[in-house]
Amino acid sequence: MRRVSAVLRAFLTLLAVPASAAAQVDPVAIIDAVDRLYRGESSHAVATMEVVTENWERKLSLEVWSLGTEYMLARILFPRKEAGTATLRAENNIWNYLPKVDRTIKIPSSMMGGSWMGSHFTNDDLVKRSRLSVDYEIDIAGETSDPDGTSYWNFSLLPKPDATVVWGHIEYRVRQQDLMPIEARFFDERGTLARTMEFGDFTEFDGQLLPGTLHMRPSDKPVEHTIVRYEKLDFDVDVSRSFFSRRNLKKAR
Amino acid sequence: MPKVVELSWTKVGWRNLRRNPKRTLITAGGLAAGYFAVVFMGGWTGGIKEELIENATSLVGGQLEVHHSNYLPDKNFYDTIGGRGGVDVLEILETVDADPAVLMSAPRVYAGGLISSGESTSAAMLVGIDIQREIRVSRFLDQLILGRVADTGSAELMLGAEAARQLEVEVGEEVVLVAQGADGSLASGLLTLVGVFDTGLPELDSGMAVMPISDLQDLIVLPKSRIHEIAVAAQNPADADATARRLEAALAGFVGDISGGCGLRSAVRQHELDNCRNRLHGRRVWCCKHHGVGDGRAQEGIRCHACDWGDSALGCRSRCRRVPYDWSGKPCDRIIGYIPADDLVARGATESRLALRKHDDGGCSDFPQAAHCLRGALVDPVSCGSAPDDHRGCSIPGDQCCTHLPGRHAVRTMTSVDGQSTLSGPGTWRVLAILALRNLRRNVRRTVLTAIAMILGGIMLILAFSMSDGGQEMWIGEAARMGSGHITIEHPDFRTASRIDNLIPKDVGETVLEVLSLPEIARLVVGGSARISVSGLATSAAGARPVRISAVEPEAEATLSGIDARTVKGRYLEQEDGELAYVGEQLASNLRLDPGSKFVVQAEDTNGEIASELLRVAGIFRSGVAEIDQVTVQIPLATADAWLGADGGVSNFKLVLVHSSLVPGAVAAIEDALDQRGSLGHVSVLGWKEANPALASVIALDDFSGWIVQVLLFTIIAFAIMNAVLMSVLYRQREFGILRAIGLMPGQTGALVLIEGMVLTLASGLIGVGLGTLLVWYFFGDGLDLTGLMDQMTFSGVMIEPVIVPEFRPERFVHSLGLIFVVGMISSVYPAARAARIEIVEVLQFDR
Repeated sequence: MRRVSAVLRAFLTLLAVPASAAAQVDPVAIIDAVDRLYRGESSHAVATMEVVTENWERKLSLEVWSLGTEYMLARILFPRKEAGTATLRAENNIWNYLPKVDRTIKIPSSMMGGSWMGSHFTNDDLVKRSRLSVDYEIDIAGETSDPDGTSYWNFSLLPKPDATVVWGHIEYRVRQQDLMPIEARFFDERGTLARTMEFGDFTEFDGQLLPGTLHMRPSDKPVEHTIVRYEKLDFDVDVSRSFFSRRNLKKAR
Repeated sequence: MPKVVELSWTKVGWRNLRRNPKRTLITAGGLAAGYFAVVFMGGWTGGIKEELIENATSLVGGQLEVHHSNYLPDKNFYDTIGGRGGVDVLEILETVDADPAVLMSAPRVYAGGLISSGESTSAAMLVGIDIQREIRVSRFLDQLILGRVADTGSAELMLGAEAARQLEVEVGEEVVLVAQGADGSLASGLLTLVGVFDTGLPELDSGMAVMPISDLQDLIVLPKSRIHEIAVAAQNPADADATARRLEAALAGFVGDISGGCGLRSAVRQHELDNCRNRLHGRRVWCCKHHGVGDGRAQEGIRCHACDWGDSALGCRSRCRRVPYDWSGKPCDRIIGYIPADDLVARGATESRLALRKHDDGGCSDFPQAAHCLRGALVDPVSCGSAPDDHRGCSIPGDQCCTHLPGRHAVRTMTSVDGQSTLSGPGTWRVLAILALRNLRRNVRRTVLTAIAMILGGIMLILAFSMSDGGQEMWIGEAARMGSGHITIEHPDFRTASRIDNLIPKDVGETVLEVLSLPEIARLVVGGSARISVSGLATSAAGARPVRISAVEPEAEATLSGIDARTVKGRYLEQEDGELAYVGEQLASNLRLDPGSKFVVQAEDTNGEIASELLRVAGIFRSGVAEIDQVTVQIPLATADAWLGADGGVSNFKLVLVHSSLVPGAVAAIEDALDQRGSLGHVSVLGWKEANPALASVIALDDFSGWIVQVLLFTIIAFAIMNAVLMSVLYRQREFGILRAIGLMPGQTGALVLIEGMVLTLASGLIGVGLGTLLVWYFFGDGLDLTGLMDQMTFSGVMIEPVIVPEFRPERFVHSLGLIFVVGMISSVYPAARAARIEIVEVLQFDR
């Protein structure tokens, strides 16, 4: 039930426009670049998602296609029991395909707050399409460096008055040398930390350096987290809008 | 000193009763009606109360519920009985069943999920039950209106009627269930709908899907040893607390928490009853609250009395009530009875008084009261001389002295005013009326006593009518103001599918407004407001919750509903507010919102797209109704119009009228006017009874109860009046004899009694109704505050202040007067007939 729309979309959309490595200290440009790491025309990815809750742990293998920011199709490959279960996001609507019963159901708006595939992401996270640079006022809050000499920028993102975002503010930590995001912390309006997203395992996918893992931790449940690991990531793949249809939702690619 | 015959009290009593069987019958009839009323009302209210408890507990809940101690209030899916390891379900059920107070127990599993059929999907509570056990614990499976009960292992389920309607699914068709499994997986199943139940409770009928417990456990990957709840049917719902404590001890080996259903906890009362029960070795007892004298000082407390074996509950209870507290064996200090004395009768008097008087030494004995002139019933003719002013035996105007039995006492001859000995002619009725009035005046005490019964009746009627009318009007008014108005004008399909598609278009809305401004309609209407209602999702940094978004015209809504007065933080919306919202307290707490906080709402717009809107909290309110405080978000109408693309359309127009009784006329007038303008097909005009059928049925039940109370009340009063009038007739037999002797016809004697009754009834009725109105107006004009007796109550989504403002309706005065008059006249008929039938010679020989 936590919002982490920008970053989640990042994972789901998974398309990297070649990050401009231009290290100019323009906070808006840097955050925009980070935000656009995963934005692009189209992408195809294979990833695993590991969800740990108080009550259970599970690991999923997913195949994900995206087109622009409006279309996304994710299908479960593993475990076998759930293989074929798929989610289609087309514009603002979400459908789930359930292979066991061979039915597609549309998620009603009242259930958009529900968990997506049991993870700490909600259905609602999938349909959010805000862009950090559009919705937030971005400032450099400071610079830090590790003992090993790695330097980071700390950005503070304050929502613009009219932006339809729920966060009070976001703190981003970005590695200076390659503009890789390290950590994003999401606060409510009272300044209480609501959730933390950590980025790691920076790997080259399709010639592009990207965080290979996203690690999401809700603050109110310290033992719980969701980790997404990319195994394969291709950009500018050949998918059209007709691919993201409810008919295609049922088909194994 | 005359000899006092030794008579046992019983004999004396019996003789008195036998002496005048009709009088005895009438008195007994009044008492019987009274007892009947008490028993009936006790049974009626008790029945309603039991029915309420029964309904509240047995429909779904069971009288007791066993849960994991953490399960409530959040109903966390993972807090199953016995914790993660689960329990041996059969063993725990057998342990519960072993309790003597338990009739049956039934295990249950709950899971939140989605039900989908084709295009429609809705959220539902999935309930897994053990059908064989469940049908002996709860009743909702009795309410199957279509199909049958689901079989285990056959992928079948039952749905509430409303849910089935919303999903457009019929028995025999398939639906998809989706829920999160206990292992986190996305569980789904294709099930056949085999049964539809209609409990009458919207939250169950629209949101519950029921299936065999093992099927649900399989679907959501929950081990068979894990259940959320054991519902228990208990012998006596009132003993639920004691049973709960015993079960707690019995289930100590299992991790659990047992709570009595329906707020039956009353530790003190239960403790006292338990003590009594122990002392009396487990025999059935009834306990009474006593104010008594014991050990030389006043005491108050509970005393319990064992019932005899075979006693009915009623018999046992009345035995308890009959136990004397304070006067057994104590010296008498007041007259406690009268007995006839045969020796006095033998000496010429039919009856005299024997009184029990307190002696100086504290003992009691009988002695005859000194004889004196009692309305001519003389023991000694000399006494008459000692009471020369006693005119009570005289009946005819102009008479001046007592009359006595001819030949036994000195007789003073009557002289009538005009010297005639027969009453007849055109002046007869006038004379009868004068006689009747004089008779009433002559014995003021008797008249007043009889009148008091009717005056009290009148006061009670006015009190009952005004309070019940006022209470009902308040309920209806409150429901109308907080809800959809006395009248709601909405899209014909809005009631069955309150979606954004079902808006009244702008042009039709303008016609509606034009109709509402017609003078003949506008004068009935206090105010009206338009609104858009949609379901959506509210999201803050703390989470997301489904909400009901009501877009209102702030000023009109505040005036009509007074919801602005329920603000606990911040302020209510104002007309020019843009993206501000007024949210329920519980919702604000769930989303951690304060005034000024932002949150995002999403809902489907008129294009079928999900649209988001950023809102800030203007204020937080507490309506007192949980269902409202958990889900309501109010925003200005203009904001919703822009956000959802309503283009001037609205969900409904809510009209609050001057008075609920104007609703049928107003509905007809609005429909007529819309029809003339050709817009009636585009909207439906609903009165509050159609818009809120639950409230309508409660009002009907309240009316019915009111009438029953009034019928019983007036039956008792009728007997009391009949008794009083008859007594006065019997008492005045001699007087009627004399009237007959001087020429009154039997019918005229009867008419005299009837006229007396009529005058008395009319006067008492007027006084009673007038006094009742004054009293009610003076004491409760500002409202009868029942705050001490009950907290604010909520009903049907309406919060009701426990202050009843009486309402006086002209027709109620006519009803009351008419009722009193009819009862008074009917009660006078028998005494009148009795007066008409007297035998002159006989009554002139005896005093009574």
